[in-house]
Amino acid sequence: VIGDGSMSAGMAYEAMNAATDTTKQLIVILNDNDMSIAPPVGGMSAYLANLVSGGAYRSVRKLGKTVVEKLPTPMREAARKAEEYARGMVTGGTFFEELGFHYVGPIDGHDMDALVSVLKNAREFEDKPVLVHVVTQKGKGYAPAEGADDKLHAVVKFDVVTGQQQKPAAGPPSYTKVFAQELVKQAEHDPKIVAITAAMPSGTGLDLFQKAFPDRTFDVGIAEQHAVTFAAGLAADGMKPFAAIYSTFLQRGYDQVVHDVAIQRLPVRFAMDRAGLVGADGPTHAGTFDVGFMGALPGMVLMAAADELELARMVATAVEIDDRPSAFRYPRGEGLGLEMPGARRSAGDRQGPHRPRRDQRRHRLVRHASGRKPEGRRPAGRARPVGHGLRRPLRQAAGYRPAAAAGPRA
Amino acid sequence: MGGFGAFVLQALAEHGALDRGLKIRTLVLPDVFQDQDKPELMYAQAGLDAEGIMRGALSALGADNISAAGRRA
Repeated sequence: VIGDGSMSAGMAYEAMNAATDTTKQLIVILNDNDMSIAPPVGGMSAYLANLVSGGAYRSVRKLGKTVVEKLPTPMREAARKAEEYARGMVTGGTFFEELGFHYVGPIDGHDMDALVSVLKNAREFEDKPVLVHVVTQKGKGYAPAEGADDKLHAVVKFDVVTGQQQKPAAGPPSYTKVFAQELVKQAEHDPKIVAITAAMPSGTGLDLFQKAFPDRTFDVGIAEQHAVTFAAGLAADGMKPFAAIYSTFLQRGYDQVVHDVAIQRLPVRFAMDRAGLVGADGPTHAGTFDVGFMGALPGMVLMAAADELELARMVATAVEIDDRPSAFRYPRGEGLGLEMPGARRSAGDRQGPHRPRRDQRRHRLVRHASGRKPEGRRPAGRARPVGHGLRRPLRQAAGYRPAAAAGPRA
Repeated sequence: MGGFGAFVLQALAEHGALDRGLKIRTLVLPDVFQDQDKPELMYAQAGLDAEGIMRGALSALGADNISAAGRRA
């Protein structure tokens, strides 16, 4: 079972390509609700919508005839279903058939009788794999979900009647929002800044950027590999791309990060949201590994924000790092409520703490916090000065005298 | 594994800082996929909260038996 939103990722085609060669008995159910996490994008999405609207309808085969004969009364219902089956027997010319699949659909996914019959028929195919194109509506039968396209994807506890999710009392702005606001601020002064998301405009905060700069925002769909290489291409052409991708989803584009960005030493800026543990979404969404996999790359500047002020400065710093790739990570959730500086710093006035140092030879870890800073929050308004990469702390570490002999001091 | 602690260890090794018995402990997420919970609790399970960090430091200093509550910082 695959959703139409997932059809934007290359793996679907890799699998279909292999399936026609390796098996003749496979049923792929394309669950098409015309939604990705956000509204779907791209040519495939438009193509599926065209199929659904009947654009590919050509002729009726006898395949479904036996099923049609069993149609229940009343007649109007029967006629409707006959139409459904007729549509279900579309043959020839679809993309999936060109790949070597039988294509059945589009079918109303909420019509259980029709669905069961069609699936039984699909089971009988033995010469080719089958793709059953099922049309569904997100949240069907539940008004709060039906009414909000991009809501109730990832939920916390919510009121079943109203669909209202329990929201904690409004706190400080989230890291996500701080990132987006700072990026907008920077982009107002630098027309080369563009932003890329892989189907997560709202999750990454880039919906804010999109509002301000619709022409400079690119949602490539659930396609992180393309997002990364696309950003590399933009960087190669002199743009300043910010690829805002959740830490965990960047794993999907790691080969591209290595080959198309790091080896080419292209100044792609990776904004890695949801770094560290994320809670409700579990291990598939935890941003656990980015320090390891990004920090291992030669030339990569890696930064981790311990508060939202640092994050804002890292955005500014990343704008300035234009000779190599950079990445900064920040956790899910709210910042610490620090006061944000209003004025944008000019290009000449680089932020001291995160000022890039040209003399570092391999990669730098400007600062690390494992996602959210667990304890010891600092009072609002006071940003802690940060070390310059590893060197200074190292010198300190080298001169450090273990206090073991003395035992803990009272 | 492979996290920030690993980078620090590597840098320390390269600089010879480990040659004379420098005591160091890396505080890390466990080598399992933790069951999901509130991040705060998951970090606490992993020993990455204040209590866990102090425990790690004390144990590195050979002061395991001194309880957190009984000490003044």
